[in-house]
Amino acid sequence: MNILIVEDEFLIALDLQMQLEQLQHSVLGPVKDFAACREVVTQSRPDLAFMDLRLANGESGEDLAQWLLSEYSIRCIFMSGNLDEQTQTRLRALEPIAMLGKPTFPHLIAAAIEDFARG
Amino acid sequence: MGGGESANARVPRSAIFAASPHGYLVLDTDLMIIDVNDRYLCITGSKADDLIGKLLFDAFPDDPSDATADGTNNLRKSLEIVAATGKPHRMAVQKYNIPIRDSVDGAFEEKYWQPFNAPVFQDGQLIALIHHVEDVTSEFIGRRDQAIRLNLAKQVSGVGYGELDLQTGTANVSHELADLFGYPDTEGTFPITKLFERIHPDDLEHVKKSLEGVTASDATVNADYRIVLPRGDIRWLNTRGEVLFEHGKPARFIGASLDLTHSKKREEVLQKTLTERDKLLEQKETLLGDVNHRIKNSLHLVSSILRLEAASVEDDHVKHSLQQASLRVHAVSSVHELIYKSQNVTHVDVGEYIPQLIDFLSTSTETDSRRIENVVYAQAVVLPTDLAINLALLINELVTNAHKHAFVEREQGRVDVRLHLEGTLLTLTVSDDGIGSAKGLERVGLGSKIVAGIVRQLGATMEKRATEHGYCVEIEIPMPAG
Repeated sequence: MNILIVEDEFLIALDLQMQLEQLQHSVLGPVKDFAACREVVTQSRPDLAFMDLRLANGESGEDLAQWLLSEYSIRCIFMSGNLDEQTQTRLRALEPIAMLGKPTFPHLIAAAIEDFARG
Repeated sequence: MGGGESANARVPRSAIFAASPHGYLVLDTDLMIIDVNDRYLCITGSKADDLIGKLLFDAFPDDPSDATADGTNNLRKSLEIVAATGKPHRMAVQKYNIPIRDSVDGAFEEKYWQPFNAPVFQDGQLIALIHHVEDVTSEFIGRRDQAIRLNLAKQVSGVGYGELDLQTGTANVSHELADLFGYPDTEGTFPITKLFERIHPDDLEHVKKSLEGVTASDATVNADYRIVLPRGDIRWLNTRGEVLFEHGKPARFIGASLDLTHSKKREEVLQKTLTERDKLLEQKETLLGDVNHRIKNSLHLVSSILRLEAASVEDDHVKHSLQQASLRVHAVSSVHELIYKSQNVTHVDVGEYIPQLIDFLSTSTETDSRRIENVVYAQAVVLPTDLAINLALLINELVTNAHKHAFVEREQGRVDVRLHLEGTLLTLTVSDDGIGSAKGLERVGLGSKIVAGIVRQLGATMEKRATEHGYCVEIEIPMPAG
């Protein structure tokens, strides 16, 4: 599967990339902001995206997820250190594949992708 | 009296006198009682025999127990005026206590009267005096009580009274009211505009609306407003009262005003404090959320680094150590994830978390080729966050150890993890059906040091034993008080 990583923390992005590659997926990015994401998406089409909620330059992962969903019907697995009730309620409107806390268990990442693959 | 009666009157005048709804006493010029009607007897509680033929002031003496009694004196003066002028005389309301006729001890009843005296002439000659009285006791006492109440209210400091004539635009105010409006040493009649010009411009409309908004059925006024004193100071007033209607139109307002400045100021301070408190609480929430977010991000970063390190080294021993470190960091940091879910920083519910932790451990240790079943029974218990972190570390060590050592040269096995709270004792049991001794724990490795250290730190007890099918570790942890 082609998976886009949107994460502004380089090492977290690298770790996630390694885990996804071990699971035999190919990774697009990682990108850390809206502009870089737009550039990647115009060239290749990911099946899903891992989306951090706080991006570089104060940009919001929610806005970017909204854009991916409405422009390309790409859905996201959200990753955040803050998944309180309010945030979860807002994210549900963005048809999330999963909402994972930070730090999360790697096997939950694998499980979320498998769920998505099965439809 | 028979001589005075008209020959053609169908009703004799004596009968009319007897039946009159007003009380009459007829006196001769020497003030001797010569006639009395039934109504008079009724309101004074007298008998005709006790009165007729007696001098007026012998029949109705002053109440000897009332030192201020001057009823007889006033009555005598009025009768003298009537006799001298030949004209009727209306007296002011008189306090004139009358003897209770049947009382043994000669007691008097407190009475107030409206007397009216008139001369009776025959052929230009004064022949008698009519003394007419109306009992106004209840009316008078009612008015007196009201006056007492009003007087008492006036003595309450800071209360001003006023009456506004809404048709002529004049106010009649008490000394205190004038003072409240910033006109010291003044009282009496005022133009209403002088009061209104002191009212704060922002409140004037509100005050006018309160006065004009009344209806005949709800004529009460209750308004809080500000006064701007000549030096610019602000004074808060509360005015309450009632509008009186005449011919269906509001005619007069009668009310009292009270200085509220002190309590309004306290209210303002309190409101400001409450607003500040809410702001601080909001800031605290935001700050706490932010700090938690950063902690979790950093912990995630640490586990990512360890995983990346483990992936990058060739040496199996080093790789294994780094993986172990990564697992331990993960066990600690994943408890932080629970904090947000529980909406509570100090306590977390580990019931759902423990199965997740064990799933994670079984996918992360190198047991993929073997089939090891993990059976978890974890009671939903809310634990202090520190205890939850230590518990996660214990489970990490014990389960990892069982996976690593219990099933050497075996293709399958089973690990049971049980968490159980009874009273204040939390029991963690990790058992396996492996080769009978969990060698790892007998070694002097980091894992066993961590377990022994945490057991000591928690004041817990640990029992390790071989079982019929394998090996079992049981740790009993006393729950911290509170």
